[in-house]
Amino acid sequence: MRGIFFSIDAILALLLALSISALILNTSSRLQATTIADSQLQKIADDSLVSMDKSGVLGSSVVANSANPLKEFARIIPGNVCYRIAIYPQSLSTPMIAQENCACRTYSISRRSFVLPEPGTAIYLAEMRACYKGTSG
Amino acid sequence: MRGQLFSFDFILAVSLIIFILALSLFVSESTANSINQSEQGRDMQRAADGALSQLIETPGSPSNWEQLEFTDGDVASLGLSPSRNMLDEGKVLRLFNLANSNFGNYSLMKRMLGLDLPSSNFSISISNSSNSAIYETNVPESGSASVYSFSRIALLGDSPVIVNLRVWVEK
Repeated sequence: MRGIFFSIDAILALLLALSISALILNTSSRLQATTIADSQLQKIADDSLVSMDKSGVLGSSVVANSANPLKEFARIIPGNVCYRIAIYPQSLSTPMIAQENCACRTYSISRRSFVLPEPGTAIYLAEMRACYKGTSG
Repeated sequence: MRGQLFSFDFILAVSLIIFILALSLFVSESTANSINQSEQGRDMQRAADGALSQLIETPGSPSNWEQLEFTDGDVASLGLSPSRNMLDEGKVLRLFNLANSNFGNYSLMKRMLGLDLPSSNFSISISNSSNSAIYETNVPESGSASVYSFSRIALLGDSPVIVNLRVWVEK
């Protein structure tokens, strides 16, 4: 019987070790996937604002005081991404123009300031919040 | 009877120990495999991310590489954007012509983009907002389970496009 007891002891220890290693592996792979997904989301937000600025979409929105140019541009944003693009006059209080497809509870955020030379030089701030659709609140 | 009981006890204990050892070996082997795959995946993801950033954020080196002979000596690195996120149509055209022309160019391109990982291949496509491919490399995927796909938004002319890079391990 002594042998059996030793073996049960060993089995229990092994099960415990297995559970711990499975937990560590699972957690580390999930963390890795999350980090990569977050980095992708941040790049989508950064790229969108840079592209909108360089193509004049941000400026057109301000001049027309309309979200339509933003909406048109946003068609390129991958379908699994929830976003909110807003343009603020100078401070981050109330957006003058905003366009969103769904709301995010936790999000990646990107900001870019841009200048409109006409009629008088004015600085605006564009902000984009993005999250993956499954994680929106 | 004493001898028999001892033998039964002994056989049972030995069987259990062998089972435990075998299980430990199996688990350690599969854990090592899983870590190996995960490391390989991470290397590929890093490489793909870096390659895409190189294409979208740099003009390449020299900056007129698209007008030169595509050799190791003449072209140091590939890039598509004279200014960040603004793709140059000439560079784009040259890149896809080279990638689709012959395997030698494709291999050199893979090395220049830092994607020359063991048994890996890549494909690039540029799509418009209707999700139609404007440019794409004609490299067939081998049906590998590990395909890593990265996308960036850029401008081609005045139009926004998605540049997608896919990297996978050949079966």
